[in-house]
Amino acid sequence: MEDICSYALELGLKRSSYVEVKAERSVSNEFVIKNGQPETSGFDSSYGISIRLLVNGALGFCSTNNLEKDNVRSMVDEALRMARAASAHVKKPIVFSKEEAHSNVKYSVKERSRLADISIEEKMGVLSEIHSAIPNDVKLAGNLMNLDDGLTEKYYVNSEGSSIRSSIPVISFFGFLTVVEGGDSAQAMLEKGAAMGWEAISKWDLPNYVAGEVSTLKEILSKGKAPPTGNMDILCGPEVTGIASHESCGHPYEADRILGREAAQAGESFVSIDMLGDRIGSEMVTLVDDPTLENSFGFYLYDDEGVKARKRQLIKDGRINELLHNRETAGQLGLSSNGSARCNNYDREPIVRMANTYVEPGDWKRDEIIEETKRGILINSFTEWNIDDRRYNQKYVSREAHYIEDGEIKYPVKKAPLEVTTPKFWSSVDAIGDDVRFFAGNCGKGEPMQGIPVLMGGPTMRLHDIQVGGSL
Amino acid sequence: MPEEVVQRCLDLGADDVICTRLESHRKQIRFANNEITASKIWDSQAMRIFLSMDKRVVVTSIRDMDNIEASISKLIGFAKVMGPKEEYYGIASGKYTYSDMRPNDTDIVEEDVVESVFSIADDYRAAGVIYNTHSSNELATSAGIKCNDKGSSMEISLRVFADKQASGHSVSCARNKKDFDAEAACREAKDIAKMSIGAKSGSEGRFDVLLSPLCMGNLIDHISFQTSAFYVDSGLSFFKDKIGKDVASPIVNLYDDGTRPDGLGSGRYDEEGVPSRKNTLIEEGVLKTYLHNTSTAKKHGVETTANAGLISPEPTNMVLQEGDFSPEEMLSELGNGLYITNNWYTRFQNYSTGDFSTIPRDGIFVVKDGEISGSIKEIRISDNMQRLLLNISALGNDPKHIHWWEAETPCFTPHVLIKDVNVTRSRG
Repeated sequence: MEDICSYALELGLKRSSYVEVKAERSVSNEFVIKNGQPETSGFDSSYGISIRLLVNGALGFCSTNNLEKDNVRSMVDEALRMARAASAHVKKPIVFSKEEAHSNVKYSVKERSRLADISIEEKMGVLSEIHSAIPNDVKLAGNLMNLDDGLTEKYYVNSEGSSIRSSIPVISFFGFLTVVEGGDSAQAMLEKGAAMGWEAISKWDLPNYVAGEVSTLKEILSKGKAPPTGNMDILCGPEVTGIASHESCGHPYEADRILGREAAQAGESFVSIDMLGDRIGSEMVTLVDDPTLENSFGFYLYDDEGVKARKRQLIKDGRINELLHNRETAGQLGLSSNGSARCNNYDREPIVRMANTYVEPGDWKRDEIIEETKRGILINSFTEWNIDDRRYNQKYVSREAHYIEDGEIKYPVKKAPLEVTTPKFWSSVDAIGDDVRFFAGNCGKGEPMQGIPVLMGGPTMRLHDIQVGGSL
Repeated sequence: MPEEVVQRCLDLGADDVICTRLESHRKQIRFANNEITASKIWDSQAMRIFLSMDKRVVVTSIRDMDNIEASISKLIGFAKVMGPKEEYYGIASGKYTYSDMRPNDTDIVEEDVVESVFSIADDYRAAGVIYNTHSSNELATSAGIKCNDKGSSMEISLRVFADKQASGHSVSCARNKKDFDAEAACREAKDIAKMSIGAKSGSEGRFDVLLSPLCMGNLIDHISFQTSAFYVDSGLSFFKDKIGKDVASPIVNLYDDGTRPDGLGSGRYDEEGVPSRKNTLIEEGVLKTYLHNTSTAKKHGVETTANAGLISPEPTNMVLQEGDFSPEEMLSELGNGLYITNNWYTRFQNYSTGDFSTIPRDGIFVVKDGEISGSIKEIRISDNMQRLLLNISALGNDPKHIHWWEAETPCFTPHVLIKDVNVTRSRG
């Protein structure tokens, strides 16, 4: 890896002001069962490099997996040519923020039980075990389950002296299950993910997790009532707190969206630079994004621009506190990057991304929040969700929800909709639990699309006086 | 090379083998705020190998080109210990004749195209992306099929902002530069942006809705995957058990057509080497077939539709047959309702029932007495996809080629009028 990276770095630096080169080797295995039977399984492997450079304030990028020196040279030449051609149109030159160089850094995630040492039979066996654990009284109209594992080794070097090598194993589970009951049906999309070894499997206890989720869906289908309407409290379970943190706080605080770079794809943001310090939520809300959480799905210690990662406080005590930056957005605003540049493969440019986004815990117990609620709906988990491209209007429809009256859970509720603006959501928070939990997801952004592993989470959280209604 | 890989896998005990070698060379220019933000070039080689061994089915995609032999060994190792896929019924065999390769002309100067966009956008903000792609592949199978293909395409997707909340979006997608018109796309996006200035918050309720090709393209993208036999068998399609039944309005004819010379999803053959064809998915509102590869077709007792996808049958180009109405006549036909020019973030609550929601973005216009009377914002379509298909009441005569970030499957669709659509919005 080092030789071809050094070669490309030298080639680029002769004709540009900044160059970075990344080599990446990755293997990912995928094991699949459909309706309890083995499906087509397999693996992907890749090894390639990318070169990103600045020429007169214009950004050029190239990637290839043909690592013959002649080919690398022609790719660098083409990237330089394109950047030079673009620079003729530049009115505001791109300037990267000044950052400390980190040389000869090496880090990895230790696997207590190496994924590569686990047999294919054992990996497929986990999926069979999950399927076998589904209770007999739960009728499934279909199910599709994946267990994926892989290892990504990266070597990053730039013309400012950084050289960083990392090795990160990842394991994830994905299940899509359709439960039918009494002529109605409901679907669960279940996901787990971590940067760790095979020990994740025992930690997750997937058979019980999946069996519990489908049993809950059966109960909701058989006993659930239509959601009440009108004004009431909404209690967000950790899964709902997590998705709202990701969608209506993490994304709108991405500086590249705010500055318009993603305008034609994922959109822009209701947040503007001059809103830093403005109140967006109740005083008790502090919301962070932290890539350094050990073994997390979004884990990294140095981002894909070589900047050291750190925890970011996006909302502090209810106020907009910090945005997510890479070197390009930070440079444009005269700031330092906070290490939010990520790319999902060697052939993608690093852009501003979240890692692990969550609400910090409060001092309420979950049971206390329920007991102190006069009338409300506890939405433990969600199915359908979306948010507009300014991240202002969001919708979450419950997978599991319960009606609460006078401090007691009364009955399950089917398909409770929460359709609310972002300021209303965060300013309505009047109780935050201490029961932080995390949920895995793949966040989509960029063009070409870059799906990237993240965690979303937080504690149980109450939104006071929300109007419910407007669903099918 | 693919033939050698096929033979190597057979020598190691495989029953069925398909190997495809793919190469692509792609350029992209991204732009925002009337500035080029990145110029990119990709050079990629890959090899895809599919094999079965006693009904144990495995697949790999290799971009680590120095380790192909090791990957083959690993793949064989996978196959030897994998459980059998009971619903696997083999790959295509036969002597096929393929259409002639049609040369594509995508000889454009991307920077000049982007500069012309900036010039048209003028004092409005333009953001977007332009691609120029050249790709080729060669395929060999253990059933004796050998074939190759190559093609090029160009596409631009752009959004123009009149102000922070007044925008329009348009695309131009083509195989040949005579069909590529970035400037027209920019003018359309700019016109929509201009008309969107001063949008008011929309109301919830039930509305007759006119969808632009861009918006309908997003919905067709989601519909297309639900016609795949793989998703039907996985319980992830509202088309399950509906062959021969009414799934759309009688005026709806929907095709998957991998043979269109102008389609971005076209090719000479599918991933098994079966020559591409045009399939009627919905005829006068009746579901005629799912998308199949050889194996799913045998399971369902039909012929392959040439849509392999070796794991899951995949759409090529979706084509919604146009109607007779001009754009102006479509507005008259709508009378009173909403005209939605784009959408995003379509998510299903339940794929097996079709319950979903999607968020209109860019220009959303109120239509009164057949004329646009104002613009609105901040609404959501919360309805059922099956119901929407059944409620289609008119089709425009203006099909457009759609492919962009929110419409992965290339499609050709006109404006579409749908009656009685449920619209919701945030409560506070």
